Parts: sequence; structure tokens; C-alpha cells
Amino acid sequence: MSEVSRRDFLKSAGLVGVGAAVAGLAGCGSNTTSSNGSSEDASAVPYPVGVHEADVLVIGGGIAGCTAARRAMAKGASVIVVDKGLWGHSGTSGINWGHDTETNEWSDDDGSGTIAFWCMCHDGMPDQTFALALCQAVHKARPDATTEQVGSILERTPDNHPASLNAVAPFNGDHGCFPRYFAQSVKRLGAEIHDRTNILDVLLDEGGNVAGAVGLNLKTGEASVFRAKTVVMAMGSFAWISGWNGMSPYTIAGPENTGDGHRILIQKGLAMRDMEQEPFDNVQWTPIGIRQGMGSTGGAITNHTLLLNKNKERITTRIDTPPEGRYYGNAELMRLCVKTILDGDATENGGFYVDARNFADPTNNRYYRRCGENQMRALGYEMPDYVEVVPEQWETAGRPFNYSTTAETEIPGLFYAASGQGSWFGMAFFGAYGTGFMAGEGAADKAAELSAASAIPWDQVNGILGDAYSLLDAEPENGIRSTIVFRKIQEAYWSGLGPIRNEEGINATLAELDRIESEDIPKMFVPSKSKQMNSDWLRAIEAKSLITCARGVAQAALIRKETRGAHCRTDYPALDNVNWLKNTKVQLVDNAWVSEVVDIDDSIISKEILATIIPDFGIDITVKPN
Amino acid sequence: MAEIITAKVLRYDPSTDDAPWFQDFQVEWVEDPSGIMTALQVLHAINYDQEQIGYDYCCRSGLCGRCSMLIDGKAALACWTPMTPGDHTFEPLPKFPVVKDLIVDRSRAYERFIEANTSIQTVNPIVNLPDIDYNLYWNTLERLNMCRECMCCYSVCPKLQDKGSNWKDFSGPGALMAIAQRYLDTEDEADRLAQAVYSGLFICDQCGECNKVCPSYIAIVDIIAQMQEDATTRGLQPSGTAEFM
Ligand SMILES: Cc1cc2nc3c(=O)[nH]c(=O)nc-3n(C[C@H](O)[C@H](O)[C@H](O)COP(=O)(O)OP(=O)(O)OC[C@H]3O[C@@H](n4cnc5c(N)ncnc54)[C@H](O)[C@@H]3O)c2cc1C
Ligand code: SF4
Ligand code: SF4
Ligand code: FES
Repeated sequence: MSEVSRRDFLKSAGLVGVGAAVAGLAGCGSNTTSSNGSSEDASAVPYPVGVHEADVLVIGGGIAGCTAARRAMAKGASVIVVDKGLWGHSGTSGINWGHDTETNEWSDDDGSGTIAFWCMCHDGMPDQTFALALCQAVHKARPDATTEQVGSILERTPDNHPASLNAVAPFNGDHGCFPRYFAQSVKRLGAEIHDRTNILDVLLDEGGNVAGAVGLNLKTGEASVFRAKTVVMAMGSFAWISGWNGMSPYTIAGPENTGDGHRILIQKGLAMRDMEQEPFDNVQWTPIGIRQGMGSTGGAITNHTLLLNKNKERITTRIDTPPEGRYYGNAELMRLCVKTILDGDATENGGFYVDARNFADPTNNRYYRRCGENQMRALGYEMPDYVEVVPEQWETAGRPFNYSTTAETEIPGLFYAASGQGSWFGMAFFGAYGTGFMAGEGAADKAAELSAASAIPWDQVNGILGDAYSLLDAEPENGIRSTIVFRKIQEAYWSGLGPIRNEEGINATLAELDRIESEDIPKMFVPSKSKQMNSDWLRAIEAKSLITCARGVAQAALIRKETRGAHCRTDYPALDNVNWLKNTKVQLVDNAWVSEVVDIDDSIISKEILATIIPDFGIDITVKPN
Repeated sequence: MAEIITAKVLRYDPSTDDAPWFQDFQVEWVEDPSGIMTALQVLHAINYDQEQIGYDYCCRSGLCGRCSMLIDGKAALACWTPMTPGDHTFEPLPKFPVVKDLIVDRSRAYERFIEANTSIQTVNPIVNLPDIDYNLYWNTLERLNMCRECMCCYSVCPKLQDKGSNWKDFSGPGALMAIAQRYLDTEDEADRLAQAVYSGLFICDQCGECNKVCPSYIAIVDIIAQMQEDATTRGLQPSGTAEFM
């Protein structure tokens, strides 16, 4: 490295912020190293690497990551947060300009009263030991009060009250939480923030404990190593995997949501739970300026009374035997949507109508009320009375199979936070906020017990960076641009693993993934060699995450031979509470997938009771004739 | 024959280019069922079907504020800008350093939002969500919440120059709106009016440029005017502005 670039580099790797502990340099000055340098030997790495250190490293700056960072800082830890996109504007949270919140903070009990409802909403699937810890954490973490504390002003109704009325109930909802204020707060509290930095992998020490992570600064292409006593993985979903509709994937998630976290866990051999569960929502199809992003109408599924079939009949009133006296929630609605599509009652573009005639009414959720106004002002588009919406994936409910009540994974020191199961029922915020709080607390507590972070395993760093840089350098014959390969994976995924599934379709997706891996991936290349904001390079790196997640979902989807949650199988259309109160478990062992179904943890509410309270209809339900 | 959009895109990769340069791309006009094609779609068409260009986006639906840029000379969100067949120019948002092509580093404006500190200042902790006057909520506070941090207002404000000390003395329209949110709400107990004055409230001459580009339709000028009036009533109007280093 020349003196000049070395100096420039020192500048860019400089110490920032109150939360920073150490920042230094490694790997400069040596180009001649073997790739098997020992763990302690920074000179093994022939790339310039900035080193940053804190007690707790948080990967991902969405609701989950920001909450983890805030909690860890509150407990006295120094914190680094790394995010792939623009700080406060990335991933699903970065899109979410006005969340519905869900909370149990006004409830009388400590959260234990919430768990029955939580299990019911999620078709009996929660790991109850963990779910109890989650409900207790949310009760303590007070998401609504905190939301207002950091900046958002939640909706007030025409009689000036908050929507929840601060009412004592197991669950309450308010409207209008803006994750951007959590991001501002993390910055104000002094976390060291590295945005536009893509984490490539998590580092482990020789004992298998977490040691940190390695990433690429997307603005410069330079490498960063983050050394920490504990790590919180809060990298969001893999929903960006879903198809392509001419504008974007069939998802409301963000382009950063490529499942890098899930891929890292799977590659480290961790078993994953319920990966087949990918809730969908229905979102306005046209104009294209709002398609699949929920800029305006959308979220229709959470307000099901608005959802109509092609004949403008409410899809919910078409059930012959409404699940009376039982909870009737999002999971059932997703299945009803699929049923409607299968019956040929979907609209022209494969979705539904939403009755928008009285959207502007002050009694409606704020979310809907300015849709018409915004579409007219921004796009000159007059919203029709009936707005067409189509299904698209909005979150990922899978999570590490073994997950402690402090949100720690099987890798000591590696904590995990995400909306997970919450998204199943439209309570993603509850899940992301709650697990963020648990993980931040767990990571800070554990870090406080450790005298120092593990040494940086430079051989791992070297291998990981070598892989990433070789993707940039590759010049295969008859190359296919990475961004095009990426889209082929999305298309393969959506064809068999969208909202309507069967064995044949899932296997066809797997076959196409095999083909992509054997034929396209070896030819994948990045035309521009610039290291600065090279999106083709990023897509080349992310392709591995998409494929790994797609395979995990396929394995789980194959073995859940029933319909449950958002997983609808035309070859197994029934929901079976007698035989299928089970979780799926998929794992990559020695490069081969191992999958099995495992009984749920029903240590608090028995399976027998669950079976009586979960609406037991799949996509086999009889509906009234038109 | 299909209609065509000619997109003139200002390109600049600071790591490889000596200076910014314009490149023309021809994109087929493909309207959706509503007859609309957006600027973001044009950029997607270039990026996916022709060659990589640098542009930023997340939500593609007018929410996240990441796709702000100059389109035909006007600061706007690409995903919320309907196009017409013909010639159009795409340039990065002015007053910010270019990271690549249409992506800029907006952190100097974002820092002003951080300084504004929207965390609520109260003597007592929040126990319950208090009532708030509905009209205040719906017509003002809700819109302030919706600020996209798109920084379009910063790019047009004549009081903030490319270079010059006003970036130090003046927090800019977006951050003033963040302060206003806390000034206008009924929960915050800090002296937000004084804060607004210290943040350069009176540097604004109510020219109205920011209002024209705000995708959140925040009544920036009206709110600034109201705060200026309230500050004057309280005797907080500075007697002049000084240039400090
Ligand atoms: C429009 C919209 C409306 C919604 N409405 C609701 C609602 O009303 N109620 C509700 O409960 N939920 C709602 N949701 C869902 C909810 O917003 C999400 O579940 C939640 O924001 C997820 O938060 P998260 O922190 O887990 O993930 P994310 O917000 O996706 O955060 C993950 C972060 O990790 C970063 N990251 C990813 N990969 C890497 C990497 N390799 N290196 C570094 N960083 C990385 C990303 O950039 C991102 O910032 C909505 C979602 C959308 C899009
Ligand atoms: S009205 Fe004030 S803040 Fe807005 S652009 Fe003009 S001078 Fe700047
Ligand atoms: S005030 Fe308006 S223009 Fe300024 S940053 Fe916020 S949304 Fe953008
Ligand atoms: S992409 Fe989010 S506002 Fe345009």
C-alpha cells in the first residue's frame, strides 16, 4: 500500500463517536502472505482493513437493531451498529413510515397474560417458553410510550384520544410509529454507526464463540472488521427474494432484505424453525409508483372487512362456517385469500379489490386516510372507489430453532432479533421490538461478564474477503451480469414458493436453483470494477444469501404436508390441529439439507387446548356459491 | 413505433472519473394500467436492461425518501414523479457530495435532524399516552411525522449555499420542522421556541422554495412564520445576524 493511500485509509478508518472503543488498522503493508495465516496474524490479509471495536456489535439498524442498540447502551455497553443501507431508511423499517404498533404495556400482568393470545394468533406455533419471555420483555420495554418518547406522535382519534385508549388488555394497538426516530435516537445516544456497510459474515473464535463480524464499506469497497464481545444479528427478513413484477419484487420489504443473516446462521450449521412461513399482504397494483411499496393503499389484509373478490363480495362473508367464538386473524385471512384465488375469484391481476369509498373518513386508521390525497397530489392519479390489490410477501417468520429466553442463538455470544413469528399475525413490530430489547439486554449482560473480546480470527477474515473480492474480479467467459442472475433466483423462488404451493412446484423451484447454481453462478460477473457503490457487486455477494434462503424455505415447505399460517399447499389443503401442531426444522449439515418436523413446545398451553382455539380451516374450506 | 424517453443522466464515480458527465439513455415508454411510468421505473429500466447506474431507493412508493434527486431540474422523489415520453434529465441532489451518479451523501443535513433532538423533553416520564387535540394532530403533527428526511428542502433553500457558513448558523427547513413538531405538540416541556431561534429561525426569509418540493406537504413556510411571530412576541428576535467562524 502506498503512503498516500495508507494515509487516506487511516482517515477513513478513524475513530468516531462516543461509543467507539478502538479503531485501528490491520493488513496494511503486506501483499505477500499465505492464505493460512494464523488467527492472530493480521498480515495474513492482503486487503486494507479498518478495525473497529465495541462491547456489543449490532448488525442491522431497523426496529430490532435500534431497540437492541438502545437497550445495550442503556445497560452501559459501548455499541457499534452496522447497516447495509442508508441509516434510518433501510430494510423494512426504513419503508415503514407509520407503523401500527402492538403492545401489552398497559396490561395489568407482567405479560404472562398475553401469551395465550399470541399462541392463538400464530396458529399454535410459538415456542411457548420463548413466547412468554417475549411477552414479558415487551411489557417491560413499553413500545408505545417509547415510540412517543423518541419522536413519533401516535394517532389521536377525533375525540382526541390515542387509538389504544391506554386500555388494560392483553394486546393493544396504536398507529403511526416512525422507525426513523429510533434511528435518530441511537445516533444521539452515541452509538458508532457504520451505514452503507454490508456485513459478509460473522466471525467465531476457536472455541466457537462469536468474535465479531466482517463487512465491506459500500461507499469505498474497503473492508471493515468489527470486533466485539457479543453480537446482535438484526438483519431483517429475506423477503426481497420474491419474484419480480416489473418494478420490484412481490414484496413490501426493502432491497436490503436479502436474508444475509439467515444465510450466515444456516452456513454456520444452525437449525432454523418454520422457514416456510412467509406472511403476505395485499397491496395496490397500480399506479406503479406505489406498487408493492404500500405508499398508499395496502395493508388491506389487516382490515379484512375491506377485502373483496372480483365480484366485489367481501371474502370473509363467503365462509359457510365462520369460526364463531374463535379468534379470526391474519393467518386465516391469508388462507381465505389463497382460497379465493384458487376458486378463480381473484381480480384481473391476481388479487382483490379494496373498498376505498370511505377511506378518508376520520374513523379510519391514519394509514388509509390520505391515500387518495397523496396519489392525486404526487401522481395526478384519481384513486378509484375499488382499488385492486395483489398478494406480496411482507416478512419472514423463520428464526433459529434453538433460541434462548435472552435471545441468544446456539453460538455463544450471538444474539438474534427480528419480527419472526410476529409477522404471521401482523404484529411484526411487537416481535422486532421485543426481541430487539431482549437481545440488547442479553448481549450487554454477557459482554459485561467478559473481560475482552475474542481475538480476530484473521484466517477467517481473509477467506471471507477473498470470496467477496473475487466476485468483483471474476471475468468468466460468456458472463452473465450478477443483477440478472439475482433476478433469475427471484423468479425461480416465486414460481414455486409464492403464496400457493405444492410438491411439484417446490421441486421445480429446487431444480431451477440447481440449474442456476451449476450453470449461471459460475458465469456470474460484475461488469464495472469500481469499488464505489457498485450495486452489481453487492447483488453478486447477496446471490448466495438468496439461494440459501430459498433452499431452506423449500425444505421446510416440502415437509409441512398441511396448510397452516401463510403456508398454503394445494396438495395438502387442510389445516390439521390433531397431527400438525409441529414446527419444521431445517439444517445444513456437511453441505446437505436435513429436515424434520418436531412437536411444538406446549409447556404453558397444552396442544389439546390449542387445538380447540385455533380456527381449523385451511384452503379446503367451503365457501358460499357466488 | 413505441414512444421513447431519452434520459440524460449525470454520471460521476469519484473513484474513477475526473469530472461529472452526462450520458444519454433511450428507454421505451411503458405505461402501467393507470397510464403512469415513474422516474424510478426509468432508472430501473436503465439499470437492469442496459448498464449499472448509481441511484438509491428502498420503498419505491414515496415513503422512505431515499430516491430524492433533481429531475428536470426539480428536487423530487423519483418514485413519485410521473414521466412523459420525451427528454428528461436526472441529476444528483445539489449541495451534497456525490457518492456515485445520482447518490449523494446527505449527512450534513441529517446531522441537523439529530441536533434538533425530537426526543420528548418532559419533567415526568410518559405514563400514558395523553390526549392531543385532534385538529392539531391530524392537520399538523401527523404531517410533521411524515417528513421523509428526503432533504429536498435543503437542496433548494437559498439560505443554505453549497459552501458557506449558513450550514452552521441555520439548521435548515427540515430540522426546523423537527423542532416545530415539539414546539407545537402539547407534551414537550422544553423551550423549543428558543431552540428554533438558536437554530436560525430568523435566517429564513419565507421565500417558499422548500414548500414547493416537500413530498410530505408540510406547510413549512406557515409553520416557520408562526414560530417567527411567536418568537418576536416573546422578544426572541435577534437584532441582526453575525458571521461567526
Ligand atoms: C410498508 C410497511 C408497513 C408495515 N406495517 C406494519 C405494521 O403496521 N405493524 C407491524 O407490526 N409491522 C408492520 N410492518 C412490518 C415491520 O415494519 C417489520 O417487520 C419490521 O420493521 C422489521 O424490523 P427489523 O428490524 O426486524 O428488520 P429491518 O427493518 O428489515 O432491518 C434490518 C436491517 O438490517 C440491515 N441489513 C440487512 N442485511 C445486512 C447486512 N448484510 N449487513 C448489514 N446490514 C444489513 C438492513 O439494511 C436493515 O436496515 C410493515 C412493513 C412495511 C414495509
Ligand atoms: S422558506 Fe425559509 S427555509 Fe424555506 S427555502 Fe425559503 S429561506 Fe429556506
Ligand atoms: S421537510 Fe419535506 S422536503 Fe424537507 S426533508 Fe422533510 S419531507 Fe423532505
Ligand atoms: S424509493 Fe422510497 S421515497 Fe422513493
